[in-house]
Amino acid sequence: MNESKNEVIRLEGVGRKFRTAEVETHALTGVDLAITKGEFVAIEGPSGCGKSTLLSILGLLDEPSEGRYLLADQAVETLGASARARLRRERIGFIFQGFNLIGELSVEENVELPLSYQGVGRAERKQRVKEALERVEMAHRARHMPSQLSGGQQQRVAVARAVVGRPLILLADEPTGNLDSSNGKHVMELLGELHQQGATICMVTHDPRYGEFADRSVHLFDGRLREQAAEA
Amino acid sequence: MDTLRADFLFGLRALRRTPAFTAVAVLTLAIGIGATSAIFSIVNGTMLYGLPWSEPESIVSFRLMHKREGEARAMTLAQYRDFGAQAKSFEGLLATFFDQAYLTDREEARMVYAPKVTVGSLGLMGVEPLLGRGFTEAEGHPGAEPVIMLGEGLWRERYGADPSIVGRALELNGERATVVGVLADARWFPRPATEVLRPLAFDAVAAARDDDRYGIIGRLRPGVTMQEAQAEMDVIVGRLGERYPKTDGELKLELLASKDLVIDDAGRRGTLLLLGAAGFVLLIICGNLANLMLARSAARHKEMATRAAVGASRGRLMRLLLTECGVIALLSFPLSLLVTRVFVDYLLSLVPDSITYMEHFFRFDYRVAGFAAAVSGLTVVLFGLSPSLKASRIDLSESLKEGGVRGGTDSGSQRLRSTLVAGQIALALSLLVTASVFMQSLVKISRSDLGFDIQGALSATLLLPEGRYDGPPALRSFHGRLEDALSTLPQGARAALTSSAPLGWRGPERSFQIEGRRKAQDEQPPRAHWSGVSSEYFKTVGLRIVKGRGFAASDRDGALPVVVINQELADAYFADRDPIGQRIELSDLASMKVTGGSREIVGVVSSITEVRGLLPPAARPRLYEPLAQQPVQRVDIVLRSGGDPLASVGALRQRVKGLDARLSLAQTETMVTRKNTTMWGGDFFAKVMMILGLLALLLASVGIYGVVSYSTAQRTREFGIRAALGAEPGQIAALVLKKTLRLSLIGIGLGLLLALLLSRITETMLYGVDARSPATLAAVSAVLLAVSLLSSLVPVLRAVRAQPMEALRLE
Repeated sequence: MNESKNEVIRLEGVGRKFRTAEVETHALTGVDLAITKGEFVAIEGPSGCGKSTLLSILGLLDEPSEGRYLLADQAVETLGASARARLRRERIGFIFQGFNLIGELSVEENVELPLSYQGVGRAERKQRVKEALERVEMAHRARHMPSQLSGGQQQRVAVARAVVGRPLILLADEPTGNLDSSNGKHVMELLGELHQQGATICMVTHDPRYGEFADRSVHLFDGRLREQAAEA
Repeated sequence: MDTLRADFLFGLRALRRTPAFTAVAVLTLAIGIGATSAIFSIVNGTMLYGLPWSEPESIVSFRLMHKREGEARAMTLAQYRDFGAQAKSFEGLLATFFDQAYLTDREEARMVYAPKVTVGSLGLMGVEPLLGRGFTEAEGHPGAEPVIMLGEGLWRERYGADPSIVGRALELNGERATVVGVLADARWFPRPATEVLRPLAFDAVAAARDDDRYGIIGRLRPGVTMQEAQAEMDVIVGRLGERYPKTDGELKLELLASKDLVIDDAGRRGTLLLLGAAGFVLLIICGNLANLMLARSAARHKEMATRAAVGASRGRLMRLLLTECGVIALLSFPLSLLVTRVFVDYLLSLVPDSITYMEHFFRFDYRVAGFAAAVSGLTVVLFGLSPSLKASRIDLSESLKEGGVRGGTDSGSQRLRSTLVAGQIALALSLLVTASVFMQSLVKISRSDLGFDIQGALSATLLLPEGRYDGPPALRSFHGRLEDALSTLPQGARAALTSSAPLGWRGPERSFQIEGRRKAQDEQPPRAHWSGVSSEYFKTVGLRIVKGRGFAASDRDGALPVVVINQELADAYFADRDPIGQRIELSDLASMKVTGGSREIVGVVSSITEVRGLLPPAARPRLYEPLAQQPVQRVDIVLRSGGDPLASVGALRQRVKGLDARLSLAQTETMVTRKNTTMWGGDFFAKVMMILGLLALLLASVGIYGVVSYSTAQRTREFGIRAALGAEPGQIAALVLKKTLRLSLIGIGLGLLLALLLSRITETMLYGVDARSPATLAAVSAVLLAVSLLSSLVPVLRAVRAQPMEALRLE
């Protein structure tokens, strides 16, 4: 086992099975993957290949059926719900395809949410929310409600929410999937900037164009890791 | 009409597609309407049905009040005669005497409700016999051949509805009386549940002014108003008061409408309160249904938007939705009648067996069906209007977009749902507070010290027919032999005789003068209830001799006439002196052939506290005389045993039969039963109120569950996002509970206000309980809060278990 202090994520032989009444589906089989600090990895593959399942496991939203998962050298595959929730709020930042802002909360309240769950004090929360929104150029919309924003703006707020907790890794699930090409490009440039500033990013995408923003791409097909491309 | 028909058919089809929703809606609505209609059947039987006599609006009841004491007094035949002779406002008057009698035509005597009425009463009130005839003028004179009319119920039950009963002689109170007719139960003459009707035979000239045990009813002449009649009667009563100051001096007469004969003020207030409580339950059900309809509208928002897009106006959409609600109400209507019947039967089952006439007061007829139909119609508006208004307000551009805003999930609908649930909590809380204060009042009354131990005691009634036990010597002799026989009861049981056992009929009132005490000219003498008792009575019942002595075997006929008074009478009239040795002058008691005269007070016994429904327990002044000195025709045997008193009834019966094989015991019942009978009205009221309160609580909790559950389902995505961002399960649960808590606290606040408003009505109906008791308000609020939070348990678990993956909408 090659564990490295630079490895943020290490998967070893990870598999994920789903059972319905009669059928057992293997969404992932024997996946080995390592992501080092500061790396931008794209997980590519066609629809239904298991890439989002992989991202869910990486984000501790789902548990592998088999294999090992080390997050910052800590085995996490058998952790309980509460410990997983703690790791999610302290180590992981999510960016969803559908933005997933909470409609009843304002922009700044949405961004503040991970800090609230981390128990960060009010003054520090306000300061970090301000910084995060400035980073994505949305500070001027802090008091707005999500419904008052365009799709691109909403995704920038979602990015701010993902980074505000200073996570170890950003997990992005088709971050451009709900955006037109112009807005998609802007979001990708934003992720690129974050990467440049040192963020570790793992992004799921089916669009090879956006895969090019990553340091390397991982290809999934039928739940198996088929290829590991060299740096783009 | 065609569109209405189309809407109706569409509503029917739409409801058929969702059988679970339809079944829940129809059933809960039927329960609500049924419960309300069942209580309405009491209103119908007691307040609306009125007296089933011709032109009941011209019938008035006389109520004589003592001006100073503020108590109602029965009237005398002398007053009946004088009123009849002097008043011009009336076509005629009738006098009644509500009495019981023994039907002794079979082995086991049966005590029957056998009022007496003056002859001509049936004609005056326009009541035709079901069979045979009424009483003739001649049958109203003393000494006339005894005749009776049978009540329809008794005629059917005991004589198999045999028409040849007319002309047959039955034995009543040991004497033969010829049946001249049968009276329909539905005519309630002179009151419901009359089993035997007897003519009130009296000598008008010799009518006594102090024999006050009669009721008087009159029929106003056409064109005479109640106020005119009242004014005339005020003059007449005033005149009689001046002429007979001792008996009529401090009296005033009130004329009451005929419906007041059926139910008194307390009963009317209680019944209307129950109807209001049932209405609250119905409102809570409508709240639940409105919430269901809102959820249903939300699910059908696209359909409504499509209809609007193809040209349906808002009014048309509203009509469609309201018609659907109408179909639900229509389907629930026949079921609600069935539920009403079941509720009425259940309510009747709460009435003790000894109260035989209550079914007359639960009148389930066309009026109740009409009420149920009207309420069904009203519920359409109550549960259908808001959801229909909401659902018909459509933003087409938004609604028809793929994934556009769904109707019923917007903040307006959420607010409406929350308002409905807060209202439901408020109604349930106010109802529970009201029910619990009445229940506390009932428990206080029930636990009040009656002055004797009711456990292990019973009473049975024995009537000595005048034909065979005529006059004091015969009665005295039988009482003596009976006391001897009762002294040999097995297993340590002992028994005593009295003219009126505790916890039943109070016995007659007698006036008395304290000898040697000065009184104002024309001052009416004080009155007290009277009982003739055997020497063992106080010991058997368990009354304490407070002063002096009880009765002894030496207090026989010919010895010094003596009385024992109770503590209540001693406190009221002998507070300034020792009553022992004082003498009082007692009035005659014509109704029981008991003579008056001077008596010496030889003892003071502890008082018996009376309980009546929800009225405050109270002891009344009472005089006791030895039966040996004042024998009576009808005696109650009071028996006390170490164990179950009913086990001694066989021996008791044997002793009686051993003395006279033709005598039978009647109304054999334990003191516990007698207490339950006297308290039944309050017991019934408090129980029904509590049942409605608990039903309201259950329904409100269903409402809370529905709203919180729906809102949780709507927020699944949000909970998923929060979980993905690291929220702990407890933090998610807190979000759901916060909503429940907010709703509950608003509802509880409103409910407390409503409860305080209701307390203005209920406070005068309670005993020893504060209608605004902070402890009760706090306890009921706590129960509501706990039930609210408990109702949220399932939605909370659902929210906590929401998978964050759902938020990502994977794969």
